[in-house]
Amino acid sequence: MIKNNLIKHIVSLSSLTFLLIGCGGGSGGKETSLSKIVNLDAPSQFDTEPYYKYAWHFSSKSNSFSNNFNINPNSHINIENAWKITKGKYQVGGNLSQPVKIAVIDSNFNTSHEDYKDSIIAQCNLDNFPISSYPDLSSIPSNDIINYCNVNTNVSPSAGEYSHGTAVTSFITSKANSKGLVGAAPEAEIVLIKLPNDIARMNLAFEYARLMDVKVINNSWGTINGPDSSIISKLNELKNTYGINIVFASGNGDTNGIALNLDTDKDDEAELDSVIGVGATNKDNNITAYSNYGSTIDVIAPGGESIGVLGAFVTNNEVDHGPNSNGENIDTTNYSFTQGTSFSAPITTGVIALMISVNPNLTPDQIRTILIETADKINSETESYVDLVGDGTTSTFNTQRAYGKINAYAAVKKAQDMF
Amino acid sequence: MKYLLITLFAVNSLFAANDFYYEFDKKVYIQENVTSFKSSNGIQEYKTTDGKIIKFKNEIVAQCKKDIQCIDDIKNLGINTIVKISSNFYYIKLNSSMNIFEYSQKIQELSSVQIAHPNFIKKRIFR
Repeated sequence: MIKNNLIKHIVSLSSLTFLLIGCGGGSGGKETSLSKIVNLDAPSQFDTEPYYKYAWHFSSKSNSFSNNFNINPNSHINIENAWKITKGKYQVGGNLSQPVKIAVIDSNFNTSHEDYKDSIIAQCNLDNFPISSYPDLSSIPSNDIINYCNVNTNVSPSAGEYSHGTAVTSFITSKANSKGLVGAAPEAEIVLIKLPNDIARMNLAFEYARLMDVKVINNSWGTINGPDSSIISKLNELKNTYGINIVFASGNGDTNGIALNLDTDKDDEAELDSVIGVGATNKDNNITAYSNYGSTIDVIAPGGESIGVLGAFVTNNEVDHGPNSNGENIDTTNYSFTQGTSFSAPITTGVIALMISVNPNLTPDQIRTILIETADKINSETESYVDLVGDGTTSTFNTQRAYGKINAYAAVKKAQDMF
Repeated sequence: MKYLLITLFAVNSLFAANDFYYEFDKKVYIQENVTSFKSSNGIQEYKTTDGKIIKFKNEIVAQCKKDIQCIDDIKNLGINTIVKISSNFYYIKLNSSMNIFEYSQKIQELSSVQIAHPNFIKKRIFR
């Protein structure tokens, strides 16, 4: 229940105003509008991915899977049309044709997974970074952090260890390689960082992401006691000084899986002004029962529930959240259906990378504003969305559903139009 | 005996009243030391008055105020191991004889310092 909710919304409103009056311009010169040369009715480019047929979070295509499990055809995020504009490489600007860089900070990672290993550009384990061995009063040189990370690359799970980061990463940058399925930004690149457990090294983890010039940092985690002031301050710095977008999963409810209202519960990283907080939707195109909510959560995205979302295999996942045992012939050593806001966050992270690829000039506040302004107000026929600011111009908000479910195409198109 | 117990209780309460750290400008009070024999590597464990369990070694994370140099002020407190970890964030290692709450408070109360609190070891939840 971080108390600066109003500030966050005022920031969003200010950004909107800037967005409306500040469109146009950019370092790379204005390009021909790509949307004019895109055939939005073309067939999916990823039908050759063997498990893409299970990707209800991305595709509305009717098939035996979607029919057998009553997948709502609107449960996806309209990303196939966005991929006709960009898949995660810069379309404009000084880094033209280069991939957008994303950091994933998580528990551990299978770095040889067939579906995203070629997206990895760096990996780092800072658990044992020897801070106190540096001379008193000196700073740790940036090169020392990078050099340390060049050597300390073991981010893999130990034998049998739960491998949460593996699944998370797959939802961002699984490649179009005729294996598995694809992530939201299949042409983006990733930096994998194992999350240290003390505040000083967490600070270094975020610093390393910055040094690697990432534009988005995905965080599908939280802490029991919530964020401490130094982490809050560090995230503010990353966003406000360096223009880095920071995404956090909102969390999966109490011990019984019942969603928590973060306005009245403990402080949570997903509530911070500096981050985009993301909740989870299900295959019925509704909010899940477990998705933590509150006035500081920004958007929602598919995370799965009775039917999970299919991603890279989560070692030792205690629950089968999919139809693996119902006749679907899935390679269960490499892929699994899973559920949680952990997977809504990387889908959103991928969409942000797509937005940046068509407009590198967008600030994090503008990115957030575009995401909420273009979000789909799911269940609006039965659920009310209200104007929190009361000015009649800001996107409306529903307590459980935030500003709505992300719409990748609408967000990317709007980002592109602002360039 | 009765007076001794009352005196011990009062002294203990006095210590407890002084054991706090800051989250921004808000004081977070310590209720009790719950460090167990199972703790290793010098990790201390405390319960705050709002029920949180916090863990840390004898280390502090601090941030100088924007565009202000705070190192000399911290060094003047008798602290020698101060390492800049990023922009204006610092890692501070205390000697074993230094009380972490006392020094967290002293550093936070410096006019040049924005933030100072123990270098918490966090329990993380992957979602």
